Amino acid sequence: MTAILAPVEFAEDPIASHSAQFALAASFSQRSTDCVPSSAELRPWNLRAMQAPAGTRHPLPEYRYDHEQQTAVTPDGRTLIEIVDATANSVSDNDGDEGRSEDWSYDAVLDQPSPAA
Amino acid sequence: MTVLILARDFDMSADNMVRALREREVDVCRVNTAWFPAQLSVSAELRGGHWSGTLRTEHRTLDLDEVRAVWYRSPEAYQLPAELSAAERHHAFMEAKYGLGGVLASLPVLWVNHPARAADAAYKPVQLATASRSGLSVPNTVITNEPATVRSFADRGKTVTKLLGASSIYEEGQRKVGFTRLVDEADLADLRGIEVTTHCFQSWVPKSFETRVTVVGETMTAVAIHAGSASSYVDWRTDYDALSYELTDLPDEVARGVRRLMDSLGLTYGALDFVVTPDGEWIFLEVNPGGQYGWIEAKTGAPLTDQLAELLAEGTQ
Repeated sequence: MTAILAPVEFAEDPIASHSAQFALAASFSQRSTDCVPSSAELRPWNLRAMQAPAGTRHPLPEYRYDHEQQTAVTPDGRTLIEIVDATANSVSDNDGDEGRSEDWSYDAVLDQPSPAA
Repeated sequence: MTVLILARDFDMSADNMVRALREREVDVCRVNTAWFPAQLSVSAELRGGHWSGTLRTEHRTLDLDEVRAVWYRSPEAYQLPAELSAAERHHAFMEAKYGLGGVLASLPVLWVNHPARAADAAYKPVQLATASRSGLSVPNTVITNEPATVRSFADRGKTVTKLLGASSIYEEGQRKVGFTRLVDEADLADLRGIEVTTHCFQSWVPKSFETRVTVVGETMTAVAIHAGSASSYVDWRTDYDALSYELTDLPDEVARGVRRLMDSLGLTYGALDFVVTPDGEWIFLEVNPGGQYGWIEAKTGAPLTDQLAELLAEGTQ
């Protein structure tokens, strides 16, 4: 007899990893940020110490993805890596700040689909 | 041969990798899975035990048979048509995940890292147990949702708590981040919320400095991270401005343990964090299969992009 495991059940398995999950990263644009903290009795203890990220961040210049160059480019056609220093405190949410990248790091992908932007 | 990079549209490490591979005259194809299905299509047929066919965009066609390495960097979730109902969207997403995702996951090439291996390694309890079995020293650790266990563990000595999964949440209109922190008396006096989910506590490890070990294939690059502020002494992620970096040597015994750990987890790339005690002992904290490396390269000059490019260019077969 063949067991049939519905994908949704696999995705929601409480123990198994998301190994079949492709892709791992969540979209930058899909966050719901309107939640409010629960009462102290209910809110997970470790969340009490959550804080907004500190540090100085410099806004990135305007850019778009260029399919020919396969990199991000500025409106005047320069690649972003030509003009931005990829250090922890000079690039918004990128290398080193362990910011948005934790989505990749810890398999925190949304397993529910979202509509195209 | 072609190196397939799976990454977000905005990813400067991926931008640098495209450049590094082109400098080596290696054909590179960068794809974001979020392009599927609006900007990306797949046509694959099972032939002789492997999937042949193409990934196609308006700008590029990738022959799957030409792929020799995949850098699984940071691709985003599929973006389905907004007009679909929620049920239809979920169906389409899951079919894409098992269809396109399955075809890609089956490619018998070098993966840095294979998403299944990266996902399995995301469990810190698995990491710690595997690291210990690999001969690495690890902190005393407890995972519990029982307040009594928290108190008895903290009674043994100075204790820190850290998150097991994603280190941030989004609420009240902003992103909030959780760092490793010391547990104090006030914490222990009010453990409401412990029962709600599992929490991780570790014995504080006396610290001279921390290290980030970046493993790229067979190459290991160790960088000492010196904390210059009270908060960064507990968790260096809290205060990047207070940090200083220097390349350092990885003890042979630790290197052998790291090699065993990476092999056990099936990882070809990893960013590992250690505490180095005043006695010089290296204590493993965690391995991040997708850890960032660009800032380490920028601060130390360690040629990590080149190491990755060489590994990807070599590929398999």
